[in-house]
Amino acid sequence: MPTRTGLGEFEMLVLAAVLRAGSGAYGAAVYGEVERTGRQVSMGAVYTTLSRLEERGLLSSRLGDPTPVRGGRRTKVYRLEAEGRAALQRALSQLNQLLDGTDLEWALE
Amino acid sequence: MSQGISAWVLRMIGWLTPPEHREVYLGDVAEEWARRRACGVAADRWLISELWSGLGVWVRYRGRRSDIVEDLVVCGVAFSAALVVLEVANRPPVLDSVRSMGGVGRSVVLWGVNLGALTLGGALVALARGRQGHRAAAGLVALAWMYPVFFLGPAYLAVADSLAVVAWGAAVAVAIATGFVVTSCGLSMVEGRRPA
Repeated sequence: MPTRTGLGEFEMLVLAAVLRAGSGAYGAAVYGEVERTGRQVSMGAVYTTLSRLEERGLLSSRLGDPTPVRGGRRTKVYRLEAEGRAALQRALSQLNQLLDGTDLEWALE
Repeated sequence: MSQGISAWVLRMIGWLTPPEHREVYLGDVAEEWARRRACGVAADRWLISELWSGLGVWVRYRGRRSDIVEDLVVCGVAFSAALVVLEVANRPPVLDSVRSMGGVGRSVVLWGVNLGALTLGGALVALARGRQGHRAAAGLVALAWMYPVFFLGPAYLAVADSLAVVAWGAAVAVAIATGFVVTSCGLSMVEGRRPA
């Protein structure tokens, strides 16, 4: 079975949220970034998508320190890998190419 | 919602999460819940909705380790067990109507419902897990099995009283509803939308 190289719409959002969250890109933070766009999602959807993207090699993760607000539970901090950055760039370029010349035209800076 | 009930809901979310993911996922849920409580933003309602989302997490991780055969077996065993429990407990009384039928007819109805629920549930679980190669096959198998249930079941039930029809219909409805619940949660994981 060929490896999936494209990104789903929600996967794009999650990758962009990880990029935006920077060094603090753990589950709840990524969830907050996505919700700030106005998109209503569940924590479970964000968590399983992060997990799926990590399996595809687009993200990597490491366990962080536990905190009291999390009931003493550790975080899992995600990092956008080179493949993930490339996949996101590719998806956005494709979108830009499709929209070129339409009344919804926009450009990546 | 009291703190005790909220803690219990959080515990239930943990039960639905596979052990290797439980600590981190529950930590994320607990942190977001605390943030919403601090902001006064419908924290308890959000936590309840995450319980629903937790079903989808179960489907997502459960599905990775099993194949379609196991899905079918799980659905069938669960549904059969439920029917056995109802029979042993003699609840609800409507099952007496099914029990009063002749041996062959009763067996056909009960096994038909079981197999129909099994394959329909398995097809829907396969759909939720996004198994491209199995969706069509699972759907056809489900239809093939549901055919005798829908068409032969009533023929046998016609010789019993109308309550048996209600029992049969209720059992099928429960099986289909269960399948849709699982599918809805599973699809919410794939598409990233909040479960309906």
